[in-house]
Amino acid sequence: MTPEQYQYLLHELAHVAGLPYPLALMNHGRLKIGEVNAVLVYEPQYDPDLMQARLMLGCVPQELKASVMEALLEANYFEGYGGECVFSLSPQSGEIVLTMRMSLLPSLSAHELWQALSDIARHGSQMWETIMAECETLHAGMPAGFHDALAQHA
Amino acid sequence: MSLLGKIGMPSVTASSPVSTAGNIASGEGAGFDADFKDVALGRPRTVMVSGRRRLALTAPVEGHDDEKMQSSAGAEPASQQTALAIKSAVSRAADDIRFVLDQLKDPRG
Repeated sequence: MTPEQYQYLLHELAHVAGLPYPLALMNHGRLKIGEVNAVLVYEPQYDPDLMQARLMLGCVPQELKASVMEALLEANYFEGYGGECVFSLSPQSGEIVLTMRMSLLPSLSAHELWQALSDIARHGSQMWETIMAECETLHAGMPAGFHDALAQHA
Repeated sequence: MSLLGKIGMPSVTASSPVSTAGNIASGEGAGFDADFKDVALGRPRTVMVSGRRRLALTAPVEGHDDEKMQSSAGAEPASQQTALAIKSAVSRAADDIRFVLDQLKDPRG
């Protein structure tokens, strides 16, 4: 796919997704899919037929950090083949980032791309909701006054 | 004897009720094609079956006892249960995302 074709795809994607600020996507690759912030990265000098989609899932609660990191690394082992779906940690924000490689086939339409991004964002959100729910469950199991004591020592 | 016969009947969890343990055991009609080395080694393996549905196969682990596992689950510390729930959620999401990416590569499938 040529850079011009990619720009046209983004233009169409902004239209299909009904983005209120299409220039954020056109110029910086940024868009919001539901509640998930995403960045589309295209570097034609590296590979003109490759796009990387990065989804920012959120910051891991400190008390679940070890469990979440272990689960993400294991998922990378089983599902990260070829770097198609890889979890990582943003050094800047501390957010968990889900990076996906997407082939830019000439036949790829904006509708198909939006559908795929929406599905992926939904799966990512469901995963994150489960993690946060587990965090709440963990807190609910703490003895009375634990959180106050924790806050005093923070 | 089939390869599945040699490694023992795998426990099967299906993301959709496309197939049954029966036709996995016989290999007939399921239309799947997979390398079962991972399964034999006790690692989960996702295979593609006709209609692009997926099955996660795992071979029984030596010494594993389902009843014992179930009865001891209640005695696990909360943190272990939490870790298991998180692993399950992450693994499921990663698997589903790979499926979406596969569909994008081959929309006709």
